[in-house]
Amino acid sequence: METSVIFIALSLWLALFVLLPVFHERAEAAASGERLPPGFRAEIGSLLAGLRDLEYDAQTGKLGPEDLESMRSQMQTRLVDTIRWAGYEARFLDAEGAPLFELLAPLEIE
Amino acid sequence: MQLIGYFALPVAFWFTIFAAAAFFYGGLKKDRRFIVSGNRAIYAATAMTVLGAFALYWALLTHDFSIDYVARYSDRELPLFYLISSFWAGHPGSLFLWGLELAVMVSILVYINRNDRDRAALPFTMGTAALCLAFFLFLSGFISNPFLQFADNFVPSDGQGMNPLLQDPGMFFHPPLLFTGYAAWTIPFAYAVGALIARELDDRWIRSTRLWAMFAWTVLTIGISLGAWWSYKELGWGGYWAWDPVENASILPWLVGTAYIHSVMLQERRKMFKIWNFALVSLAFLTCIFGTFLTRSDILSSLHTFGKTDATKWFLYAIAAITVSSIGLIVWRWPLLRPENHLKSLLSKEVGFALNNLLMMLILAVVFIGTMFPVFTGITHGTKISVDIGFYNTVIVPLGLFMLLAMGVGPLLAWQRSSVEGLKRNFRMPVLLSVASIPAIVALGGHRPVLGFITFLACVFVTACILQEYWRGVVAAHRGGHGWISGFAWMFARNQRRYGGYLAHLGMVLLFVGVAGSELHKTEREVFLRAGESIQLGPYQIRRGDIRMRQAQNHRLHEADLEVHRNGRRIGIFRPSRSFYDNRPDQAFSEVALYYTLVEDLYIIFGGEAEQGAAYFKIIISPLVFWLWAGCFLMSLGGLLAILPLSSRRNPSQLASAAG
Repeated sequence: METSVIFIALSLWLALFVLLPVFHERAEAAASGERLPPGFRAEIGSLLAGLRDLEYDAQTGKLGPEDLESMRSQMQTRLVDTIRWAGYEARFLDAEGAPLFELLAPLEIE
Repeated sequence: MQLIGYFALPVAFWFTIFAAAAFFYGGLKKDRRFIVSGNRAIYAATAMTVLGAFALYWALLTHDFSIDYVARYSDRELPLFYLISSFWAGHPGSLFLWGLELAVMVSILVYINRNDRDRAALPFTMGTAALCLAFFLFLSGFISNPFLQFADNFVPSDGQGMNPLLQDPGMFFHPPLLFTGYAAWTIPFAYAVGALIARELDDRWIRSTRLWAMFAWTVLTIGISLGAWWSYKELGWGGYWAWDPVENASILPWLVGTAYIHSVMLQERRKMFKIWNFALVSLAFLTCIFGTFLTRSDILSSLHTFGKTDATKWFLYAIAAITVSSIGLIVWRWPLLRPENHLKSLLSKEVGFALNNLLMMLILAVVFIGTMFPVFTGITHGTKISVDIGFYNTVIVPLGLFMLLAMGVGPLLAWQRSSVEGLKRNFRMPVLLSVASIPAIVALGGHRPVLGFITFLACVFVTACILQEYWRGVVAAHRGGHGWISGFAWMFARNQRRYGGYLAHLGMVLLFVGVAGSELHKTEREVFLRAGESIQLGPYQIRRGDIRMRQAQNHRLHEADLEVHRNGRRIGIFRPSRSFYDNRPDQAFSEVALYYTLVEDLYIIFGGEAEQGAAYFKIIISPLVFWLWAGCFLMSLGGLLAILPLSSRRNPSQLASAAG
């Protein structure tokens, strides 16, 4: 009987241990000064470079204003997703969830 | 404890299902909270599985015969050593062991990747691994739970005991090692699926699988070798490999794994064979599940099977699911898996690796067809017809010889293109040594039959090729300022995979020497001997002494004294015997007498007493068997040296540059 109670208690404790992270606020996984993982830097860098290419294409007439807006929106969504995924939202997103480009700029791949 | 064990496995299953769901959801939504939760769920599932294992051991060690499994596979007289191995003596326990080992490995996978935020494929990798684990925990928790009790609270006073054939040290090591190898192949498969789902199709997944694949291959090599050794000394037929369906099933993942650990180098170095590598890693896992299925079905008759079980149909579902999902994923990502380079010359290392893969796949096809032939004929003709050993020997021996030669030639070829000058320089010494060895082979009697002569000659050639590679490495290290011995260690540590691989090749050469010697030059005699009579066989004179019945811990031994002389020199008294176990009193189990030397094994089987005081003996002299075991040891050692962290300088980029 006692072992059964201990087993049930252990199972419940483990279930709590497992579920706890889901009910937390999105964890601020990375402190602001933490060194960024290379994969994250590369992904953000290539997205920022892509955004700059879009602007260039629009300026040179290769892309119309509507296409520019739609593609910029898609790329920005990917950028935000990538930042959230890596847990750097407090560092690189503002209160509305928009990217802080001035902080991201050093990551851009030329 | 029975209740804890009974419920621990279903609880572990639900944790694993949650983990799989959390990983896939977290991966799709890019929400790390679910990944962290999934990680914890895997740890929780592993804790529950380990708790279940403790509960089963508790039941076995305290002789809790209220549990059907404990009563069926152990008894009060069973020595502690075998009581420990009775955990995996039956179908539910062995399935549980598979799941237990997989749980530990998935936990390691999760732990080593817990902080990796770079790779979008990882959640899908861990989700796939969790699903595979869930399958085994489902079987152990709901279909073949090892904690089931007898009906009506029946408790037998003693158990039925373990099958006497399993009461051997081989039982302690062989099944757990095989299951470890099988379970380890799950992880590369999970990495491949993760990469395909997340479109992370560069060679990062290959690098992640390298250690797991080498570990799985090495453990399978050790496990299969120990199985062969167990068969040799326990089953009393003088052989080590019978092409039994379940033996064959164990070698299928080994063959695919061997192909994989070679073909990954093509992707790392030349960005080729991408589709092939995904296919191979899926096939490796599939063959592990297939082997487990074979031992749990009645489609083939074998010494090793448990017969049809409740889990049989679930394995068929799993095989179908793995096949469909693997093919589906590869087809889905096919346009992204195009090779970035193409063959530039037929005289290149790329072709050597491709040839290696082709030979492995041909051998795999032959073994698979031979194994499943009774099933095919059962479907087409209504009668199960088995193929005999001759089929395998006829087809596999030539393929094996080609493979042996490829092991010598392949390492000496250059990437992309080998120049004629380079080939001449590389092959001059091995060819000269092979030619020079011909008189020695003839003098030692290895020239008959022709097949033996070709095998021994090929072995000399390949050995020379490998030693030349070692020599060049050491000379290069010496020129760089190292001493000869420290240079050897430096060379090895600098490229463990290459030089560990060469050691494994050298092991394979020795294995061929052992097989050729023992299969082509075996001497066998069956005799009836009365007390005091003797027989001369080869260099051995064997004189029969007394025969007696002796009581051991849980069995009686009917043993014969045989005084053995070799070339006139007394070796000692040998005692082949027949055991009658308390739980199988009417069945005799042969315990052979073995005398090992570097040159040959003397193998004596006692068949019991006949009329007028004569006793039946089968005496076998098997040349060079020692070298077969030495080859297995070297292959395993080569695998271990390829994966052990011998050098502190290793990092992923160095590993990548060290490939091949």
